[in-house]
Amino acid sequence: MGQLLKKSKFMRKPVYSVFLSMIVTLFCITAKAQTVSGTVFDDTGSPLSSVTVLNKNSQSNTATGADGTYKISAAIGDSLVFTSIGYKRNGVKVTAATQNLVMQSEVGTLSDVVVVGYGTQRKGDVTVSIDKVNMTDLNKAPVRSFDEALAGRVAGVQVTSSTGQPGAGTDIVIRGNNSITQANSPLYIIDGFPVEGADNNLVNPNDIESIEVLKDASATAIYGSRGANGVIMITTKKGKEGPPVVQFNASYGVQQVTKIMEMMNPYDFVTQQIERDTTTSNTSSPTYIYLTQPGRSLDYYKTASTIDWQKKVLRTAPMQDYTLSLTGGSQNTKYAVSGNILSQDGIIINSNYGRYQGRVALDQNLGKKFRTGINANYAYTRQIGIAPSQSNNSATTNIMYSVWGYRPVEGSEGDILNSLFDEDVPGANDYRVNPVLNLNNLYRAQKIKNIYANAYLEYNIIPGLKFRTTGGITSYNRRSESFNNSNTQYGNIRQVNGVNGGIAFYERNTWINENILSYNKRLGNHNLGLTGVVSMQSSNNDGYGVSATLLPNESLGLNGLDEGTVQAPSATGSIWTMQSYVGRFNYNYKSLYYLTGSFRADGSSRFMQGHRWGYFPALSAAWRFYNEKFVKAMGLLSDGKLRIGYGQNGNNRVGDFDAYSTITLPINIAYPINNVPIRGAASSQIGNPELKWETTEEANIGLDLGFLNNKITVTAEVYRKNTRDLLLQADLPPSTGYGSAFKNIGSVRNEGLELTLNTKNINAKNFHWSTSFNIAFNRNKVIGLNEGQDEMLTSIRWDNIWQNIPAYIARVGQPIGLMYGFISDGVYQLNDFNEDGNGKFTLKDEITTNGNSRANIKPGDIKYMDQNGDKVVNSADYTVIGNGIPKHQGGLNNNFTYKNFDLNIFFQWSYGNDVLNVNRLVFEGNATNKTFLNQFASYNDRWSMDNQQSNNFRTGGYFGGGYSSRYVEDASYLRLKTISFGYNLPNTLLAKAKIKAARVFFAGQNLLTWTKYSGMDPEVNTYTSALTPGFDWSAYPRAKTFTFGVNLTL
Amino acid sequence: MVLASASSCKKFLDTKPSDFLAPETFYATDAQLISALAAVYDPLGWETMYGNNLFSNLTIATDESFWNRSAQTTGTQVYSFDYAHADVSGLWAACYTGIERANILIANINKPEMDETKRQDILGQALFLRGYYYFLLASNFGGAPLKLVPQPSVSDAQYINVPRSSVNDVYTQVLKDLTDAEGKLNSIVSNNNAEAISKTAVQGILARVCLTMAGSPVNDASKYAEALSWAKKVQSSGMHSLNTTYDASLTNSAYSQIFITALRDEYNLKESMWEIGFYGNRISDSYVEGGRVGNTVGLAFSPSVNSPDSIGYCYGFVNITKRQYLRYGNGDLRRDWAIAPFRYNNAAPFAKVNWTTSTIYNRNVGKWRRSYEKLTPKHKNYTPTNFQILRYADVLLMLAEAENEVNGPTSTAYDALNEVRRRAYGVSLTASNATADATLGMNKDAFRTFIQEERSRELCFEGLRKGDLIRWGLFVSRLNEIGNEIANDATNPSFKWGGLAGKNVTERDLLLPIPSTEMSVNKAITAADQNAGW
Repeated sequence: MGQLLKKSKFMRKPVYSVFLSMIVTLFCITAKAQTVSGTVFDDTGSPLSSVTVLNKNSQSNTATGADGTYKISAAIGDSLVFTSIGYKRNGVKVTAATQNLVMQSEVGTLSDVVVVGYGTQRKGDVTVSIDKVNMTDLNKAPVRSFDEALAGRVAGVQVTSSTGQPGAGTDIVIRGNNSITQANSPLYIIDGFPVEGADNNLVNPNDIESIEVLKDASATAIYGSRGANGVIMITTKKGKEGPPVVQFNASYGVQQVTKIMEMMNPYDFVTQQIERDTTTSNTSSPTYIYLTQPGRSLDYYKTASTIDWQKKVLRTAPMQDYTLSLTGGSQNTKYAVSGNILSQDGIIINSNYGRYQGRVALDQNLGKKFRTGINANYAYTRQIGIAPSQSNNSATTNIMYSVWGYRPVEGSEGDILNSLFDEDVPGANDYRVNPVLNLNNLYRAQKIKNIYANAYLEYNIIPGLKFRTTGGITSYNRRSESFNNSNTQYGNIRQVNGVNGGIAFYERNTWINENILSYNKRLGNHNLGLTGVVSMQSSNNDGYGVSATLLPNESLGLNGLDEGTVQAPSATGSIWTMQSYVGRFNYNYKSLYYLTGSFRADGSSRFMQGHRWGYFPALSAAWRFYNEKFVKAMGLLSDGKLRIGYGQNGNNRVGDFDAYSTITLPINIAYPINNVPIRGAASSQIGNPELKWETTEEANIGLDLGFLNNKITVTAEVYRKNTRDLLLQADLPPSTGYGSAFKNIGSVRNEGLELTLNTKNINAKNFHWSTSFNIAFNRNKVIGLNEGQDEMLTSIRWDNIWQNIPAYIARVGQPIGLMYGFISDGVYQLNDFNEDGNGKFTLKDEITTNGNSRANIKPGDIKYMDQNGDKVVNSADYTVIGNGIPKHQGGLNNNFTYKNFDLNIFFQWSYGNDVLNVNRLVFEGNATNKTFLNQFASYNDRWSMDNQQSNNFRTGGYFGGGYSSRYVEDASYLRLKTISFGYNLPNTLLAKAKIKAARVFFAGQNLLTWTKYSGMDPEVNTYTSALTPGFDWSAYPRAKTFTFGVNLTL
Repeated sequence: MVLASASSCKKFLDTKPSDFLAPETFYATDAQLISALAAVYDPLGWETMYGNNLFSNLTIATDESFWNRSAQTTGTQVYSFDYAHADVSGLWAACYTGIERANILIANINKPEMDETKRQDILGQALFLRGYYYFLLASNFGGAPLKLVPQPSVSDAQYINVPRSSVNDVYTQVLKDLTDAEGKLNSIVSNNNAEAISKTAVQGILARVCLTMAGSPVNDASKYAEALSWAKKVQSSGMHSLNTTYDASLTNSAYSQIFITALRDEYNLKESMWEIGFYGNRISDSYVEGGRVGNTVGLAFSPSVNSPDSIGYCYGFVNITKRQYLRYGNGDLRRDWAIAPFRYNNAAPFAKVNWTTSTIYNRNVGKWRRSYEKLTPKHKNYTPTNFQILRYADVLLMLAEAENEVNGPTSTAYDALNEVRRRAYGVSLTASNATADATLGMNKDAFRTFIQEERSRELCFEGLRKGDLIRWGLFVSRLNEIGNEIANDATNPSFKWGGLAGKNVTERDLLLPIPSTEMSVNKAITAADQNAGW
């Protein structure tokens, strides 16, 4: 820096400048401009296309072709600058006519720069657990949002998409669930802006420069009270010095369902219906309906045509994605502008997703000492279509219930294809409707407008000492619309609400101001870095909604809401503020011994005075033993570092005013006197003034090794984290007058091991092959719950009958969210009974019941294990029947290039997790006991006197009482998540079209899945929460996607 | 900015809630007290209470009726359930929600400046309601935690873990709250409605509480005299009488008119002394104050398409026992109203089909017939019909019962009893009538038995029978008897399963169990404190 300053002083003197320019001129005249050519490689040795090459002397520029070669006019001594997104800027002086060059990738090796909280570090200097996501690999197949492609990329980051609905969020959990009743999603830092519960669809994956995942507490403690669930840092692309580079990425794909369920055909259906209801006399009996019409014998149904409702509802759906970007800049001004249009149809009819997004990033030097910049992103997204998995009340309202359960054949009456109802199904308690008509008429829309903008001003006070102030805002507006016309499940003639609809607005505005002072100093062998931050953030939100029923004019749609019976409007509003002070030091001696310490103090408005401030320290150290002389002398390693860290961080995910006692007047509290309802004012929540942060302590040990010039790199980490003072929605004794209150109670432990391996297997002239592999093991354990409680049961309201039956249990000493119910014992066989000679079977005394009274149990009925030996199965016999948390999971990524071709193959897996497949409860034996409900073909194999080997209970052989291990399935899977095959067009072809580089590719997502799971997809979680992992009921089917696309650089 | 943030730090973090009010600043006006009072009443209308369960699941299986679903082999309806059952925890939680709301209102009663009479009336209602919730707890669960001040903390163990008080202590509190209330409340005449509790209604409820205490399990015989005295206070108030008129275009008896009046959202303040108010049907507007009177227990009508407004949807969950049918004498107009003599055909044109004398067990409870509702369109599940908790007929029968226990079957006892019976036969209330009047000359025991039967004839399905049988010490034996009776009734073989509840009942069913929701978190109630047999 000092030298640079001297140089500039030197330059400023006019006499020298004149002299210098004379020399340059002279040189230009004498040195003959010639064509310089060469090949640019990346750090794996592969030729690198689309690298901008700038001759700083002549300002002429070009870009490398697909084979990495370039040609540019330059003289010996000219400076060439090579730039490419994702690689470090590189400059060389021309010394010969052939100039080859290796560009260092910004990702993938120990020497990279990583973004840490409030600054960056060289990866080699990092003392904590941070993983950088390889954006190049992530973007191999076009995805709507980065989290769709994140699963399996980073060890210890569990990504589950709850359903396949376009626009549906993913559930990301880093190193296991800490919190029992509260959110476990990580904190997102988008360009320095902290966001809890971010909508990742709002960021175009093409705009992302880097994603860092801060995993351990010594890394996340810098984010204090919000860091306990891990931090995902997203940095978007900035302008780069150089001529304007236009990039255009376009892709078109088709999506198809990965699997459909095999249903009963008409013959099997009718057979089973008659078996279910053997009466013949009344007009609603299956025999009457199916067999009394002329020509309708049972044999008729062997050839009757099947109505395949899955085929009618599921479709091949297109997906298009276009991004245009412009980047460039001079030494003083850099810019990046981009726009994206995405349109994705869902594989269920009448569902789709669209995004229109634009971004501008501008950086400007103001003189020598100041720098300023702005980064603004606008996105409009629109999601159309109903979520098929969440029940209002009855399971019969779910979309897949009607798709799978609707009658597969024409009946005796009505036009089953064009009528909304199956007239044979009593409509009072079964809301089954024609799924095609229903879906085509239901209207559900979520329209989101989101702006985030932040600006900074940087001041280099003295060399090494820098002040940066940033200000940012986000404005999030969501409009949710729903409309149920008379041809829908919710608005038809049978519904008391008639045609109905509603509209709701939600708005959230957040601002932040951060002021960062940083100082870096090198004193001989000592390197010191200091950072101090003062930060303030505030967010307020409002929501308003109105709905109306019994709309007289359905053709008016939502505009006719005012004509109906208007329901109580909803109106909510809230605010939180936060103030923080952060300090950090980094020290290293000879890049050999490292010590990092940080401390954060957070004050949050969510807690009452006295409990408002939380303090979060962290300390970590590293020994980069590779730099020890004796290690180098051994020659075995090319890098090596041992890291150890400890930190505390927190979780503040409670409502903004959950610490307060409240008086509210909700519409549902009232008492009518004189037939006039008087609104009631009640204490709806009892405050807890003692409420404070949830604290997580974590210790982490990591080892980074590089072999063979870093052709092989290995990272291993072990950790243990204890979360205490859990913010728990704790049950209170009902005698208090309240059901629950927030308390700091209970604790949870997570411990685990993560391994990451990167190898460059082959690095020949035309052929390159590299592999990365990661695997993570996490073990989760509840250490304590609410006082006096040693277990916590959770039921799932997928159906009103099941709303009070526990499905999951959290028990002290065991993982959170174990599945809970009976152990299945197959079915009752004949030898369980005494037969009286007249065909009457009586259950033997020593055989347990299944909850039904002994006299009513018949051979072929469902059978459970009696756990307590009383020969009666009831709720006392519930036990753990499954675990929704995987034992390990990970990913395997392979990159191949051969000449102009590139190939990426990515596998991802999850092992040892169970799914509670409730679909089978309904469609493999009809446990909900509904009339004329079609079943999975797997139920053709069911127990009967002629088929006593079957493990499926007989028709009508189900008895209520709880979930059972019968429906718990091993949902381990290995998935061929991504295949991408690309071809870089040769330069000779492109030169004519004035295109610098062009790549065409084919990509496939979710192409193959190996699993024993019998449902549509093993990656499913329709009722997402830490307490209820792996629940499958009527999920939106997952799609496999085939995409063709092109990447152009102009 | 750094300076600004540092100096304004404290203020910056002091956010003010904008979506709710703070308890410290509420209760400042009389309107806010009235609003708080409405919230104290509110739990009575929940489905866990008089919105449904207290006249349905929890009380319906007696010698009068049984749950009309053969598939219902577990649940409170058939006395096969455990302490985790939602009906049990729902009742418990509703009582304590009401108690907490009452405690908060009582603690803040003197905050606003307002008319003192009005304040005392509000206080009286709050005291009554707290006492009534404790009465429901004591009679259904026995001893229960007594809480008389607002919940002060969520973390202080002494307020979280409150032990059960003895059942006697709870009843003492009930009597205290109710008598306090009695001295403060307005008369039903000045209220001019049946939903707000009035002075005479409290007197009637006090009679009910005292009779309950006089019987099993408290067995405090001195309470008969108190019951008598409270019932007489109602009688002598002159504000109440039995209904003797009816609208001939709607029905044919004064007895049925009482229920029709409620179904039509009207009052009969002379006879119906306190009603739980229900309003609207959840589609008429955005209130959710519709109840299920007539929808679960009533005349079944369940067509697959939306039910025509002329009839109204009803599940018909409850059928009557043959014993109940046979209780009525010839000419007793109550029978064919209380017990539906016909059913509806569920297919158009939805004709009425009369039952024959061989189809007794098929019959639904007929007291609440949704065809009389005026509010249309009718909701499938919710109705605006008030639930009548206390009728003057009940007061008269309590008077007769208490008089008999204290003084024997005197003419006072006979007069009160016969007044009820004469109305039932549609004859003059004041003139003797050989058909209607009870047999003269019964001894004390015979008179008691007669009253026990009469209460069933008059008050069947109104949520009182279970409590009556328990206090008379007849509950277990009678239900077991009925269970066998139904199961063995050869004349009606298709309802054999109807005896399930009766067969299941044991001594433990005299009380509900303390719910698991309480047991699992309240450390002061251990397994040893649970009610016997649970």
